[in-house]
Amino acid sequence: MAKIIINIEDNTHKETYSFNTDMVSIGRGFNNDIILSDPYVSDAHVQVEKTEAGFCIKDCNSSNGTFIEKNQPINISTIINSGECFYIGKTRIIIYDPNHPVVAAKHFVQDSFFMELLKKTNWLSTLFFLTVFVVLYWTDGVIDLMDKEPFLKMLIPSLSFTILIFFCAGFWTSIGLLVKKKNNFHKQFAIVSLFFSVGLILSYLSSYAGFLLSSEVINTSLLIISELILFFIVIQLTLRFATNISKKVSLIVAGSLCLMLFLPVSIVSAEKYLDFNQLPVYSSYLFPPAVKFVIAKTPDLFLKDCAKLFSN
Amino acid sequence: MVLKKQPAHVLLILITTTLFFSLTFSAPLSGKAEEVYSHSKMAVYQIRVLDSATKEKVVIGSGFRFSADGYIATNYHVISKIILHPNRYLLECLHEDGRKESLELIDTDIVNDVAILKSKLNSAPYLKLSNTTMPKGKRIYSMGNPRDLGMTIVEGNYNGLIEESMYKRILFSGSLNPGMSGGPALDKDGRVIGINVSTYGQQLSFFVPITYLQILFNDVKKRGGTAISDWNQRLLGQLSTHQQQQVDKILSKPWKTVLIGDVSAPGQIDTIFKCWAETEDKDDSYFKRAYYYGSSTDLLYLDEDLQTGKIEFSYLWFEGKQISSLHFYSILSRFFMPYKKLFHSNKQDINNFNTRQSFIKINGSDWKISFSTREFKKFKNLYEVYVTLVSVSEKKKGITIHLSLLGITKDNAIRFVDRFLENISWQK
Repeated sequence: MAKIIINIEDNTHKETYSFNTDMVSIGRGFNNDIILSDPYVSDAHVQVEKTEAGFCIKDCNSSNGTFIEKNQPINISTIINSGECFYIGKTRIIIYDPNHPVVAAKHFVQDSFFMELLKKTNWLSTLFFLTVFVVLYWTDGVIDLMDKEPFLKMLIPSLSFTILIFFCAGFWTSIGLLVKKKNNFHKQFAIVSLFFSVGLILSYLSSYAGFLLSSEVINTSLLIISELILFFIVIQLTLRFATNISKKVSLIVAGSLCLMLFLPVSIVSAEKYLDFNQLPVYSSYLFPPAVKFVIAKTPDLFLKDCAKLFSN
Repeated sequence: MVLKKQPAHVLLILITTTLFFSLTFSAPLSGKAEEVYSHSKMAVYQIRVLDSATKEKVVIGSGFRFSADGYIATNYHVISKIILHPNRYLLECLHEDGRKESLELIDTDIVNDVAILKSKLNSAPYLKLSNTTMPKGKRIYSMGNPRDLGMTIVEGNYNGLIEESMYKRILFSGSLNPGMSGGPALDKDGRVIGINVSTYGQQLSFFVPITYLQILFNDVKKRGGTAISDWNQRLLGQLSTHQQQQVDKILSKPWKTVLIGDVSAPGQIDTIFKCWAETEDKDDSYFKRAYYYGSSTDLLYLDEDLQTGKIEFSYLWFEGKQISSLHFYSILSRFFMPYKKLFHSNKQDINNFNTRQSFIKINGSDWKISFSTREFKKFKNLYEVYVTLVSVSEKKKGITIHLSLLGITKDNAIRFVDRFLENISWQK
């Protein structure tokens, strides 16, 4: 649970951060918890600490000072209450207690439970995500085998994907190191391996929907839409962990990437319906008999329906 | 001026399929061949289909004159391009002495692979048609121009009529070669008993019995010898009648069924079907498998890459050994996919597929079915129908069924599939 919520506003954007530590540092330098791009802010400008009495604002000997009221810089430190604000450079900062009515009314978007979880990743969670992923892809490979194969050979398909995951996680981590000077490997690994694992599950779910509803169109469109949503979430998360761009910008970037992908992917998938196709198109995925959702037709009824396929 | 580039591949298409002409297995020659050859050579021609732009040959076959008033017989498949693309090709014949002459196409029987052409030459030698039957083993002769190498004669044995097919063929133990299609099959007196049509490996060749030429020629004479004006209508009529007879014959009697795994399904449903089966149980496999395949012996040639008239079905039975049912159905999915072998790919000939898919209940068990159909572009009301079925009621046992009906009308397709589904049931 968050302990301090900080709302940052300048001429161009507005953003809310939440922290579960008692102390938050704000400034232009890389070592701060909140990094501002305001040129009038010093490298290490101010520290906010939660105390019994309220929030203690400590100026760290900044060049331009910290202000509660305009033109009145604070000396070294001062106490403010939840919901009150102070200024550094051209930025206004409002501090909230998580129990403050404004926060309770969800006027700010807080970090999701998932984001909070991601922040706690370590080598143990990395191992966990890796195992989940390998088991899923191993199962996927095994259920496609006609003949029995040695166990190690069956791991090969998941191995190539594992390399891909390490590559993607490594790529975003190095971007993070370049931009933020922070190592995010565990987070990036969790995001990318979840992407591949959930993606596989989604592809099974859409085939299952296609199977139940006897429709290849439903199968394909569900697959495209769900995978793109997943891709959107992943790009947005990796961007937020690897770079300093705001949530809004990361949403725009991920959204436009998905839209750019959506068009070619749908055209390629629709091609088999539009152009001359040597083969009939139907959903061919099969699943074991489970709960019966769909009522089977009688052959007569089905053939009556098929008679409509002929052109007269 | 920009010249249109011709494709690099050779346009010359030789009909019939064996590669080498071999007489190694033939019995000692009777000595009659020379006599038959010299008697008949002036009445046997090379038939050529020429590209109208370049005047070069596209297809070669053989043909023979069989009437005093200039009628010439050959195969439909030799001259099919003239019918299907009338403006792109020309028809001519080459006499034994090197003379060339352009011909007119009069009529054709697509089902029996016969065509009648007409020459303008009034006085030329012609061959007489035979009306008698003969015993198996009799020496007979086939003439034609194989691979454009010049007129040849082949000796072999008469082996009777193949009865199982919807259309009859004479079996000839001799080698026909590409280019000989349409040439005459002669008895020792030089009378025509059949027309060269196809080959099925070494020393195994077929003739169209001469009665089909006589029937077609009677039709032509009844009309006063005029050429057919609407070819599409003519072919469509013949194909429709053929499939009607075929389906009526098959549906007229109860069907034999066959047990494959635990499922009983249509077996050899008519004498025109040839059926094959195989089972497999390998130690390192997750499945026991059984395969059954049935196919009608009829396959009508319409054009290069376009055949029709065939009915075909295949079953693939699976029984899982120590595997999960998710794994079992994942493998079964692969065999529920369209059966690639059959599909031809020319969008000039055929429309796109329309498909319906559903769960259905056949004799108390659940199945998944997909029914696809597409219409021939030139032959309206004739369709290709592909039905794929898969059982979805058992956890680790299942069967996929493929049924293809080529060149069939809507009503016959529905009737046939209905009957087919009726004959499928789980036996437990």
